[in-house]
This record gives sequence, C-alpha cells and structure tokens, in this order.
Amino acid sequence: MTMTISSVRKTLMNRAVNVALVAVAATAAVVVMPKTAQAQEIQLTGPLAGAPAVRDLRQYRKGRFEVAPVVAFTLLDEYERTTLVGGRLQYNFTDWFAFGVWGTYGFSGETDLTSQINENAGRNNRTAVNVSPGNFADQTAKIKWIANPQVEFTPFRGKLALFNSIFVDTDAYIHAGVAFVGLDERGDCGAKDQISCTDPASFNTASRVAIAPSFGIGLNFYLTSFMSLGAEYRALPFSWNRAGFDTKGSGSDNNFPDNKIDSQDQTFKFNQIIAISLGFSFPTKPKISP
Amino acid sequence: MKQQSVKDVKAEVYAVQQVYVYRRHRLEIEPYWGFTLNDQFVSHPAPGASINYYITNVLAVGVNGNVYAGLNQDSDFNFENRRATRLAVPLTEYSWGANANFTYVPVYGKLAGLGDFIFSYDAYVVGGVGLINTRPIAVIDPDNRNFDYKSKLDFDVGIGLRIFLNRWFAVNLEVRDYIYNEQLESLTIAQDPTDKNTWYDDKTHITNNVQAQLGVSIFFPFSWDYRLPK
Repeated sequence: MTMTISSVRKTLMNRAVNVALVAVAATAAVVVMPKTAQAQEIQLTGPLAGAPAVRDLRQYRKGRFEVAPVVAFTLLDEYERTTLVGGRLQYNFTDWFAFGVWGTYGFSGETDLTSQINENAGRNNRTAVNVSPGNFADQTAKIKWIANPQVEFTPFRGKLALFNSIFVDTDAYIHAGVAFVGLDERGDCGAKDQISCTDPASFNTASRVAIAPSFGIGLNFYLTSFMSLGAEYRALPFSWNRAGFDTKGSGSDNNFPDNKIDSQDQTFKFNQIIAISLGFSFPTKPKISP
Repeated sequence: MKQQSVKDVKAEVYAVQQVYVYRRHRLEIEPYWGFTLNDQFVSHPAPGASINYYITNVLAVGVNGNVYAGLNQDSDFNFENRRATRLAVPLTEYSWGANANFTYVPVYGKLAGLGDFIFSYDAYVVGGVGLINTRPIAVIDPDNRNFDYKSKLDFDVGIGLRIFLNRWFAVNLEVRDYIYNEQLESLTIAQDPTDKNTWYDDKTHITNNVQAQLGVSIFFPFSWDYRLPK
C-alpha cells in the first residue's frame, strides 16, 4: 500500500514539476520580451502606412467546405495500439474559425506486452480473475470508433520555403471539442446477479461509449488551391480499463482488487493521437483578400 | 495619370529584402524540458540544454545534454500489471545523456499571427553521437539486485520547429530519438543471486528513447550588420 501511495505521489509531483517548468518557460518568454511588440517590423510610414500585414492573401479557409480523409495512430499504448481511418468534415466560417466533425474507425493490433502476457502468464487461482484462460488479447480494451465534433481556430497563417526553392502556404491551428469514443471493454462481473469474474465468459468485452474532452494542434500545408496536407496532434483524456484487470475497489483507499470488474477499475489515461490528412476544399478556388 | 505623377512617393519597399533572422556565425543557447514520447513503462522527463554554433546560415555544430537523474517515473500500470498477471516487465532508468550534433536548417518561413504580427520560423533536422547513462530498475529480484549506472554509445536524430519572437529569441519544439543498445535485467535468478555476473540479460536490445523537447533559443550576438545595404 505504501508503495502505491508513494508511487502516485511521485507521479503527481513529477507532473507538477513538468507543468511548472512549462509555465516558467512561458513566463520567461513574456518577461524577457520587451513590452512593445517585437515581431518583424512593419513599415509604419510611406505608402505602406496603415496597410494590412498581408495583401492579396489567398483565403484558403473562408467560406469553404473541407473534406479530409484521415489516417491516425495512437501513442504510448500499453496493450492495444490503434490505427484509425476516417475523415474530417468541416465548414470554415472565416479564415480563422471553423466547425466540423472528426470521425474515425479503429483497427486494433496487440502490443508486444499483450503477446508476452498471453504466452507467459500462468493460468491459476492467483490470476484467475485477471487473465483469460483463452487469448489474453481478447479481453483487452479496444477503441472501435471516435466521433468528435469540434471547433478549429487558426491564429497563424504563413508560408515556408524548402531548400530555398519550394514554397508552400501554411497555417497552424488549435482544435477543441467533445469526443464520443466507442470502446470494446471487458464487461462488468463479480457483483450480485452477475457472473463470477473467474468464469471464462466474464472475459468477453462489452461495448461502451466514453465521453472525453478533445484538444490539440495541427499544421496544414496547401499543396494546391484546393488540396492540403495536414499533420495533427490530438489528446482525448478519459478513464478506461485497458487490460480488463481488477485493480481497484477494496481497501481503505479502494486501491486493492475486490474480485469484481466495474467502473472503479477504469484508470485515467491521457490518450494521444497523431494524425495525417489530405484535405479537399470546396469551392475549389479560394477568395483573395484586398 | 497626371495627378498620380505629381504624388509625393516615400518609397520604403526595397529591391532586396534582408533576411530577418540571420544565423551565420551566431551562437545559440537553448534550455529545454524533455518529455518521453514512447516509453509507457517508465517516463524520463529531463531538463536539458543545447549549445550550437552556426558555421553557415543553415549548418551548425553543437552539443546537448539531458539530466534524467531523480526524475524517472515508474508508471502505476507496471505495478498493476505485475499484481494482476504475476509477470514483471524489465524496466530501465536514465541518469544523463550528452551528444555532439550537426544541425541543418532546410526550411524557413513566415507566419502572420491573427493577421497582424509577422513571425519568422524555421524547421531543422539534427543528428549526432554521444553517450547515455542508464541502468535497469530491479523488478525481477529487487532484494538482491542493485544495478550501477553504465554509459552506452548512442546516436540521435531529430526534427525541430523554431518560432522567432524577435531577432535573437525563439520558442523551440523538437522531437528527438536517442538510439542505443540497452542491457536489461535478467528474467531468471541464478542459484547464487548475489553474483552480479548473472543479473543482466544475455542479449542487448536496440532501444529508442524518443522525447519531445520544449524550450527557448537565445542567439548571440543579439544584432549584426548586413553585408549588403537594403
């Protein structure tokens, strides 16, 4: 018990240190910077006085509908890694604000840890509640689908030069929304009127929908006036029982197994996804700013 | 047309625009914080720093170092997995790492922030060679085994994005993979468990320590003279 509590404390302390250091870096950036804006100087006199930062800007987003096939991959998976295939549909009300849906279907593949447990874990009375007599991979939780309504803000717009010869218009965005995540997760067992958690049938998975906040950042590279290549990071923190283990439910702090599988055995995970997309915008020609 | 021709023109648009951030012969000092991206068993957060000298505008030589000691974080899920399956996964913790690197900057550009401020940015690739100091965390026989840290040769490759807030100060985000050959704890316990020669697994394992590094860059000197006028 002491080990569990100290490990949790250590985790929280290290997370706090991480957050504090990022905050210090951000504060240092603000403090070191002079109070007056020092981004690249814009001529304030002469014919450019009062002119916008960019003239004749190709407004790739404003008033356009975007369809983007997406391939995504989960990160830091313990028992199952998921490849997600789907798309993003969104309407860009302005060049900096859009509303849409990010939806994908998941294909799971077991990690090396899952294979090792399946091959090496003893099937005996000490593991009977936690390790299926059949294939261990069948009891692990899997992400089946994600439906994620979201808004997208695009504060940064620019261009990049590659090897001083290829020039690509680029924007950087922040997205935030609510994700509905379809999971296959080991079903409840061990309570009154439920089957025993040592019953082989108790290792079957059941479907559940988890609701989680979603947020992240992304980059879009406009290859043509109607096609763009995107790279995106997405976080979906929520609790789920990824292994199908009985880990909590008894003891003074509920940190000991209780021979039941229920929602108490769902542990928090900061789920992370990396995605790439190929976007097509309609109408196919962007508007040009004054 | 006549009216236009007599208009007083204050031309301040230049035939040759000067590069806003010039890197050649400047020293970059970059303190950062590293986050583990690929180890779900033990995370290895670390403060670190890079020092790079730009030989040309796109090529730099430098060194960087990470201090992991005391910050390795054994995930709760290791304990829960051990308790549930009666199986242990060999774990590793790091003490420090140091590398000598080349940095190449093939990509640069500008971003307009909220349609108003203009920021310069660049993207770079970095690679080098160095040492990483690691040891196994005893989980198979923690009563008898207490490992010493050992230094191993590592190779690092990475990509980074640097957004300049002015000519000498930038915010950096980098993903770097430190690749080395790891010696793990032996999964078996010998008849004499105190014999240190039996503590290590016979095989070594290629290990990728992928970390995100978020930091700031300060360039010295703060200003410079352009060779050509505007």
